[in-house]
Amino acid sequence: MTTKIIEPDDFVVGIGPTAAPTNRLPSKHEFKPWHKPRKHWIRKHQWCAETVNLIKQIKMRDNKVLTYLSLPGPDMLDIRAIHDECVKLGYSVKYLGFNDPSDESNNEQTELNISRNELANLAGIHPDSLVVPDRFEAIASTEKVAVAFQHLKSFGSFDVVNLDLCNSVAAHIPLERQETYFSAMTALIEHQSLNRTDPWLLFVTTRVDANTIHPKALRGLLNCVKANVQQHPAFRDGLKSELGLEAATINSAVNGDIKLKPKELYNAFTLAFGKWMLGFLSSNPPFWTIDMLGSWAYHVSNSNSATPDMVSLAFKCMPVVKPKMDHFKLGQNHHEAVDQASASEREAAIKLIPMVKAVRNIDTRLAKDIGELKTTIADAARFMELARYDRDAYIKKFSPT
Amino acid sequence: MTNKENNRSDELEKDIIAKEDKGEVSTTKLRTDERVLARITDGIYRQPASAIRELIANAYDADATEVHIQTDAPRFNSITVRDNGRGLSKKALAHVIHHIGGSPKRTQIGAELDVVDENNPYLSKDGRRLIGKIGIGLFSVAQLTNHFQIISKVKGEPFRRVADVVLTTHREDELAKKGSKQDFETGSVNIWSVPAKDIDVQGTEVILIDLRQQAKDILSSRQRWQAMQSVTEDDDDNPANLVPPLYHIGELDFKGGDVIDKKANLPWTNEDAPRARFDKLVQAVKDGEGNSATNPELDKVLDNYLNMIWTLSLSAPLDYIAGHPFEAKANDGIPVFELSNQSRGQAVEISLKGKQTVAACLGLESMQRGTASKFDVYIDGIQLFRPISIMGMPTTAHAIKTPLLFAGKCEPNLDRIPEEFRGGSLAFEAYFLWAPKIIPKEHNGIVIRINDASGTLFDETFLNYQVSEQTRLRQITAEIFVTSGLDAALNIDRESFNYSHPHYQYLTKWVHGALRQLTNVQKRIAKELRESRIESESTTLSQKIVQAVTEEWQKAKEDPSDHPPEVLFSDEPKTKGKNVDIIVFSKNEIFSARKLHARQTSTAVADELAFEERIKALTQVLTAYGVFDKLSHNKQQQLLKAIVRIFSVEVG
Repeated sequence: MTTKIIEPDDFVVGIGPTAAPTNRLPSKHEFKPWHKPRKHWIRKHQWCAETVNLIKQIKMRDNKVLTYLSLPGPDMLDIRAIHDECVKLGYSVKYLGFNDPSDESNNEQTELNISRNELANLAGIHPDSLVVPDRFEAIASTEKVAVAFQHLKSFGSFDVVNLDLCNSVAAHIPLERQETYFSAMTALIEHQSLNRTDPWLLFVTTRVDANTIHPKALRGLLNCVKANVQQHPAFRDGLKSELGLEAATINSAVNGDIKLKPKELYNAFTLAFGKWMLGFLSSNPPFWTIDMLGSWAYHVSNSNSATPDMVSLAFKCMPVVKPKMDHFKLGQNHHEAVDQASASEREAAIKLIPMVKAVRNIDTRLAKDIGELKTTIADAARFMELARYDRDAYIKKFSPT
Repeated sequence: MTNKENNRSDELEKDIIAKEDKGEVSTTKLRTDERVLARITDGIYRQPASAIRELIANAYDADATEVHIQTDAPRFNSITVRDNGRGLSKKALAHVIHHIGGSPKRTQIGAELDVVDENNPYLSKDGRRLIGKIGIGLFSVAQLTNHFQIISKVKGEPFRRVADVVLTTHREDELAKKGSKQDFETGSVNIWSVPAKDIDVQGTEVILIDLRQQAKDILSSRQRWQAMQSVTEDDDDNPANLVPPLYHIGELDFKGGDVIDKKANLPWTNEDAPRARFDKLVQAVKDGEGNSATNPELDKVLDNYLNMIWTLSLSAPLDYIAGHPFEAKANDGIPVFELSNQSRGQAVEISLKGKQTVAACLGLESMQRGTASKFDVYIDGIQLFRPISIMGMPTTAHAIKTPLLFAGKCEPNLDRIPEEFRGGSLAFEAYFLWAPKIIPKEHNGIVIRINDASGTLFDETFLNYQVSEQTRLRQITAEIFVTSGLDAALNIDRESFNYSHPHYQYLTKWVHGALRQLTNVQKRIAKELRESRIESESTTLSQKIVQAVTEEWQKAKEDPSDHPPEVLFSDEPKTKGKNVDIIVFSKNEIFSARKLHARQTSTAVADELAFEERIKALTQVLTAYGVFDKLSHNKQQQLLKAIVRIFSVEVG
C-alpha cells in the first residue's frame, strides 16, 4: 500500500504556526560592549547633558513631556539615563523605540519586555511610550507609507533623536535598496522639519572605519564636502589647516582614485556626515541648520590603532529664521534681500570644521583620569542594577586594577 | 485522571456488579472530569475583542486603576496588555498555571492566596464585585496566540516574575490513543524571577508573541479590504455592505505586510488627548454617513479595529461617556418612570427634586465600585468610556420628542425553590430608555451586566420577547446591572446564557414585564399628544400626498403618533448629522431621466413639482417598510433613480 501524500495547499497558509514556538529562557546577564563605563560617560555627558541644555533653552511646552526616539537595547539604558535627568527637571519622557523583530526568537527580546515593563512603571515615563517591532530603516519608504513610519508620525515630532548604531550609518549602498540608514534619516529629518519649529537634537553613534563603510556611500558623503571645497575658500583652508585634508585628497577619494588613510577617513567621514545633514536640512523650505555639539570617539575593534573607529556625534538642529522683507520699501526697517539659507549653510559648514577637530577620544580621557573613571563606574553600576545586573560584579569587572 | 479518581470509578463499577442480580441501588455523587477544561486553552471565543476583554476583567479584579493596551496597528504583530493591579504572587501564579478553570476567586482559596477580600471572596481586596470566577481569563489569549509572556510584580517584593507560556493545540485523536491515562497537559511554561529595585511597584503585563494570522487578519479587516479590491464602484454585484468603512486604521499591504496601501482615516488627530479621541469616535458614529435614511451602523462606520474598541468600551466596567443613566436629574428634561416588580404592575412617573438623581430617588446602588472606583482603560492612546448616553438621542418626526427613561430594581424572593436548585440569590437594577431613534443601530436591545461587566452586548430580541411590538422594540436601549446571582447562568465564554437557569428565567419574565409597562406608558403619552393635536385638513395636492404618506407610515410602523422623516432632493452641500430625520438625495442624480421640457410653461413646472412630491412620498413609504435599511446611501439613490426612470418613460 502506498501512502497518499497530500501536498500542502494555499488553504494551509496562515492557519497555524509553521514552526512550533518554544519557551524562552532568561538571558545570561553577561556584560556587553555597550555596558563599558565609557558608554555610560557618553550617555551622561553627551546625551543627557545636551538634552538638559535643550530643555532649558527651549523651555518646552506646558505638558512637560520630552519626546525621544531611540534604538534601545534590551537594557534600555539610554532611556533610563535620559529619564533620570528629565525627572529632575519635572519632565517626563515619551519614547518611541525601534526594535529589530528578526531577533524574535532571541531570549534578549524577553529582556527588552522586562525593561519596558520596568520603565512603564516609572512616573516619569509617558504611558503612550512604545517599542515597535521594526528596524529603524523600515521607516524609509518611497511609494507606500511604512507601518513603522505611521507610528513615528503619530508621535508628532521628537525633541531628541538618538540613533545608537552598532555598525556604520553608511554601511549600505546608497539607493540600491530602499531601507538604508540614510533613506530612513531623510524620512525622519523631513518629518522633523515639517512638524516642529523648536530646535531638536540628533545623536548618531556610528562606525568610522573602512571595513564598515560602503565605498559608494563614502564617495557620496565626500561629495557633500567637495562642493564646499570648490565654492568656499574659507572652508577649503579650514579643511587643510584644522583637519589636514587637502582639497585634492577629497577629490581623489570622491573619484575612487585613492583610499583614505584611517585618520583622513575618520576626519573626512565625520565632517561629511555633518555636511550631508546641513545640505539636506537647508535644501528646501522650511530651512533648518545645524550646530555640531561636543562629540566623542572610541575604539571598538582595533584598539592598537591610533585612530578610533567609532564616533558618537551630536548635532543641534535649528530652524533658520529669515527676517521679513518689505520688497516695496513702504516701511522703514526693511532688510536687504539675502539668500539666508545658502548663507547660513556656508557659515554652518565652516563651523563644523573646528568641531570635528575637537572630537576627543573618551578611552584616552578615562584612562588618564582615574577619578572620573571611578565616578563613571559607580554611576553606571546604579543603572546596571536597575537593568537587573549584578552591581558589585560590574564595579569589580570595570574598576582599574 | 488521578489514581484516587480511578479508584472511585472502580469501586462504583464493583458496586453496580454486586447489586445487579439483586436489583439494588448504587448511590454516588456526580463528579466532573478535566477534559473539558483542557479544551479551554485552545481558545473558546469568536473574536479577538473577547480575549482583550478577559484581560481587562482580570485587571479590574486585581484592583488595577489603569490598563494600557498597545498594538502596532494596523499590522498587529505585537499586542501588550499592562495593568497596575496587585500582580501575581508566586503562589497565585503557580495556582493559575496548574489550575486552569479553577479560579481561586470567589472561593476561600482566593482569600488564602490573598487575591480577594479576606471576609468576602466575592469582592476584590478593594471591594470591587469580582468579574472573574472560572479561572480561564488569562488563557483567553489563546484566541490570539500560542505563545505569550506574563511579567508580574507584587508590591513590596524585590522581584518581578516572568512566565513564558506556549499553548499546544488540543488533539482529540491523541486523547483517543492515550485513553484515560491522558494527562491534560495543554502547554509548557518557563517561570523565573528577576531582581526589581522598584519595590513599591505592582502590576501585570501580558505580552502576546507571534500572533495568529487569523487574529491579525480580523483586526486589520483583511477580508473586507480584499473583498473590496475585487469589485469596482460600477460593479452590479457589489453588495451594499461592501463599501470601505468611513473610519479606519488604514489598509495594510497584505502581500508586503509592513507598508500601508490606504492611509488611515480616523475621527481624531494625533494631537487629541486620549479622552478627546474617544469623544470624537462616538461623535463620528453618531454622525454616521450624514443625512441618510438608515441608522448609523457600526460595521459601516468603523473598521474591525475601531469596532473592537467600541465593543470593549461597551463590555468593560468603565465610566459612562456622559454620566451613568442613573445619574439623570430633573433638569435633564427626560421623564422618568419607576418600573413595577409586579407581574401586572404599571410604571409610575416619578418627579426628581432639584439635584436628586434617579439613583438617589429609587435607591439604586449598582454603580458603586468599592473603594477603588477609578478604572481607566486605554487602547493605543484612546481612553475608553461606555459610549452610552441617554442625552443627545436624535429627535424625529415622532410625536414624542424627548426620550422616556424607565428604571427599577429587583431582589426577588426565591425561597419557593429548594436551595440546591435556586442558584443562590438574585438582585439587579435596570433601566430602559425609549427614544424615537436609537443610535447607533447596534445599541438597540438590552445589555446584561454582571458585576459591571458584559460579554453579551446588546440583545436585540430582549431575551426573546415574542409580543408584536417590532417598531417600538427598535426604539429601546436598555441595561441590566446584576449585583447578585445570574453569573452561574453565564456560559464560560461569558457571551451567552444558559436559558434554563432559574435566574435567567426570572430575569426574562421581569424584562418582558418591563417592556409591557414601557409600551403602555409610551402608547398613552403618544395618544394624548395625538388627541391634543389640531388636525388641519387641506385640500391641496401636496397636503393630500403628505396626509396619505403619514397614514401609510403610521400603518407600517403600527404607531399612530409617528411621522415620516422629511425627504429632500437637493444638490446643495449637505449639512451633517444634526437632524437625522432629513434624508437628502441628489436631485440631479435622481431626476436625471426627466426630459427637460422645451418650454418651461407654468403647467409643466407644476407637473414636475407634483412629480417630485410623489417621488418624495414614495421614498417615505419605502423607508417606512425598511427597504432602505440594508442599502448604502448610493444604492438608495440608485433605486430612486431607477423608479424615476420607469415613471418617465414615454411613447415616441
